[in-house]
Amino acid sequence: MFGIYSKARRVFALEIIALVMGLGLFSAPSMSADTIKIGVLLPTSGGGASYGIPAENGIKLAINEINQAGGVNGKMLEYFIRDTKLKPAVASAAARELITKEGVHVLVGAVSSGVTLAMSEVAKQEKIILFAPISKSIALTESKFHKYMFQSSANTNIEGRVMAGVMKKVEAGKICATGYDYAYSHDFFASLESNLEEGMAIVDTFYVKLGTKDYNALISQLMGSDCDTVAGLIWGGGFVSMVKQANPFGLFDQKKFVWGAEVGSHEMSNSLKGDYPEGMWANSYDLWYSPLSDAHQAFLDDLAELEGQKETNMYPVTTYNAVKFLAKAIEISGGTDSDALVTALEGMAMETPLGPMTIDPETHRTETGEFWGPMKKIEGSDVLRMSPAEYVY
Amino acid sequence: MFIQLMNSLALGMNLFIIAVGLTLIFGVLRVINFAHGSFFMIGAYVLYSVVKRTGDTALGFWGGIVVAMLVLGFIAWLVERFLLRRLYDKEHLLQLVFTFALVLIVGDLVKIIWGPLQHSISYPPGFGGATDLGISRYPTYMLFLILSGPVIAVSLWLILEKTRWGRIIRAARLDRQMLSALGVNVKAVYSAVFVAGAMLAGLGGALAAPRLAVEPGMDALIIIDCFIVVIVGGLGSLWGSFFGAIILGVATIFGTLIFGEWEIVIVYILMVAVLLWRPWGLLGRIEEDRH
Repeated sequence: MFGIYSKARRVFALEIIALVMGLGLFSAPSMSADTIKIGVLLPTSGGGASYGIPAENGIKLAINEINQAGGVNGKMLEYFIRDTKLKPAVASAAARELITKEGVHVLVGAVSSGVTLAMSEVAKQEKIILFAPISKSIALTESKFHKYMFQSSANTNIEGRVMAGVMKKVEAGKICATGYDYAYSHDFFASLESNLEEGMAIVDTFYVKLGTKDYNALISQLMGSDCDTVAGLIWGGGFVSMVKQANPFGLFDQKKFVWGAEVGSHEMSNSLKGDYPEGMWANSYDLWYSPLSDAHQAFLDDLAELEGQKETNMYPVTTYNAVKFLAKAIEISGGTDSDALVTALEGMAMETPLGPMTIDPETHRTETGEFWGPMKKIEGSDVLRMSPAEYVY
Repeated sequence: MFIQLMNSLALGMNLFIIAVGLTLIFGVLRVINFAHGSFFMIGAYVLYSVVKRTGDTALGFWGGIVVAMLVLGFIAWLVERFLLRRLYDKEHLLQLVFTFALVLIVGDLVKIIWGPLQHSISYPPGFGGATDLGISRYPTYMLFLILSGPVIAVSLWLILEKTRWGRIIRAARLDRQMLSALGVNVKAVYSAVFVAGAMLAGLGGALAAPRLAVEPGMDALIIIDCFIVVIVGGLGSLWGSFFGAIILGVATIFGTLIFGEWEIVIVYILMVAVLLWRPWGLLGRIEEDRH
């Protein structure tokens, strides 16, 4: 009896050791004094891969540039990427693993505000900087703010305010709003509503669950509403599906459409081609065909070389800027101490491919612009383009 | 109201075409195939590749659907013949882990072959607009989906009930050893059913593709709905899947209209209610001893 018990206990003990080692709790952080380590958390599988993989290109480009110029204070940069799978629990576990096992000095990510909010808790507990170049919910730097959190995306306050300006241009009148039912859409529409001029109002709001693939109920609701303009925030593949399902109903001929969430990007219009609703006002972080300056053109050329295509993606510029900010902070502070980096980042001004950006020392946010404009057919191409595209914030 | 009913049917019939393969495979092989969603996704991607080469032509689209089914059939044959066949006599957990591993492998392969960005397929020529039904105009392609569901259901029923192959498949569900003793090559039957189930998933994926973004992760979205359909309808039941799919279509569309973002709760309450009332599903059978 004792023998059996003993064997069982030994097996149990071995399992525990294997589990703990598997979790990386016993493995020493592979700290190297020679490199500065950036932990990157992006969705690289499933539906989020269309965001995460292009965003990783921005990280690569910035690190390549910095290292080719001799690194930061003589040290090379390297990055460790983990797949968030667009899930908050996966992202926070991966963030802890990057900190404890890989010994990363700063974190960059993620996509989807819910995911980044979960990572923000880890950053707060571990006292390590989390730089969010894509997630937009203002909660990241307002209600859930802590000193290690920085946000360089066109946050919901900015995007909502800019969309209110677009609404004025298109003489929106009565507006119905639609988006996924989570922090981004709720924060955005609150900002849009508070910035609308007199004579315009949100009269109906239709939320759909994140991951919806059948939009027929929403299409009926939009067609049944007496609103003049639709303000939309459904993004990614969901936007493609919604447009494909709405086209046969003729929805886009009935009302005016102003859509945020970067559906004006080239990758989105290239995906939909002739099915893209002509005349829809949309936005994008970057447009390969609309350089703002020589510096922007140089960035686009370098990115084109990295991606192996002239028609580059939209997200790299966001993560590229994040790495550049962090590298500059490391250079100024002379090391990777989180508190010293926070001090360096607060109030930091930098020239980026899209113009000057400054981090507000109080809010830890930057005023980030986006390209906005109506989507139009271009002669000789079946892919619609934003024309004219205006960079606003 | 009419439009919503039609929307519910269109959604339901599309789900049926995908889920019926899952229920067929479970009914005969007793394997819960998590990779069914992956087969659906491959069907959509193969059609995309064909249409990209042929352009938006009728031949390209309909021919692409046939190609998608054939590709899925070949993949399924390889999977069954060289991998899954080794697991029939093992515990169910191993089969689950195996099909789940397929999900991960296919997910990464799709990303490597077709890239991470979304793709889109136009409706086939003649199906992009709306048809006047007297009461209302309704998208032609969705009408086609509504009609193709019953056609596929009746065709499968006829094959299962009226042909020699159908009789063998039904016998394989009941008593594998007896069938084998009678000289039937049961291994070939299992292989054929798995291939047919995967081809139906491919057909479902290809038919759904013009209405969806073709993108990585589309498998994960569909597999949950498929499981709801077959659990509500009864695992292994053809007509159970048919009615389960219609119920899910109605619950999804009307749930969204009435309860908004709480629609998902309605779907799960429905599933729990069916399981409490009839744990074997609406048209499923109480599990008997199998040999």
